[in-house]
Amino acid sequence: MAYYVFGIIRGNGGENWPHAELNGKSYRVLPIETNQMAAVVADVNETSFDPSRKNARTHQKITSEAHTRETFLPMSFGTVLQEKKDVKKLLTTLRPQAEKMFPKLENRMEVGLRLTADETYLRELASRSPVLKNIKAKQQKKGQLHFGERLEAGEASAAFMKELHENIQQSFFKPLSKIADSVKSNDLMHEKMVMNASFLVHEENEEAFDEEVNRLHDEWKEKLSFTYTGPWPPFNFVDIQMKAGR
Amino acid sequence: MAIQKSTDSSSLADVIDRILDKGIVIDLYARISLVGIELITIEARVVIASVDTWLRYAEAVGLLRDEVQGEIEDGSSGGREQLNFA
Repeated sequence: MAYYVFGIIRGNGGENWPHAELNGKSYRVLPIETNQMAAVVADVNETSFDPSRKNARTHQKITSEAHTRETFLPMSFGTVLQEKKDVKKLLTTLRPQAEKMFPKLENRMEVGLRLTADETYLRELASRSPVLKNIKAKQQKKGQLHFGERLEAGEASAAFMKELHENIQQSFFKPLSKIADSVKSNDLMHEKMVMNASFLVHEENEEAFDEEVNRLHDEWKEKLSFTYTGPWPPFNFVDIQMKAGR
Repeated sequence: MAIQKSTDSSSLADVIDRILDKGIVIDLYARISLVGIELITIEARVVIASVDTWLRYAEAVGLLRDEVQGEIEDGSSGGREQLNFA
């Protein structure tokens, strides 16, 4: 018997948890509670789980369920502890920090907003950049650029995109962070992505935040594609790193 | 509303990106041998970065940005206003 840990919940999250599908098996989910705080775990009989499509979705599903029940500190994927006393040890170790964190996270959700620049918009912007225009003209005239010029072209394109990222992030962060409690900028997942941000939003402000995203969408929809996701447990706003002490 | 958030439409990449190394992270060594060792927290915080912090950071990185703009402007004039639509 081992315990796959989904995270730490305030209180115990109650009963009747959905089952967790891990490595093709269906496991019972239950809270292991000590004094007003519980680890949400599945009692599993193996210790290694790959982030396959199904396993990852299960982690997302159970952490989301916990987050809708009570204030919740999500665990990263794949943490398995061998014994119940290890789970309790984890709770004891985390208690002081968790008690400080719960009030900052209560009734709050994480939402994600990713923006990808449309091809036509990028081309139009690039056509207005004198540097890129020069390079393009040179290329058309010579047929092919030599090595140094190709490096220059790459560098100029990268600089162009970086400036675009900064401008767009500022245009979005300013209005949205008036409504959100916190903002986090994440790594961009591909070249045309211009923003990948997470926001921590209080339930009371959820509607206002949605409306602001829609206003921005109306303003930018010809230029950018929007991916708006959530509500999520606050994965991007809980930062707890633990290791073995020596 | 024209655009509504959802969790269903998220791609696997998006889910993985969120759950893999964020939240509470226990070092692999500690995870497999927790019995008999002491578990310590080396970092614990709620990330509360306001946009002010972020914008100040962006401006600090603006050191970089000026260089970049300098390069852009070397070969031309007026490139900056054209790109600045913020």
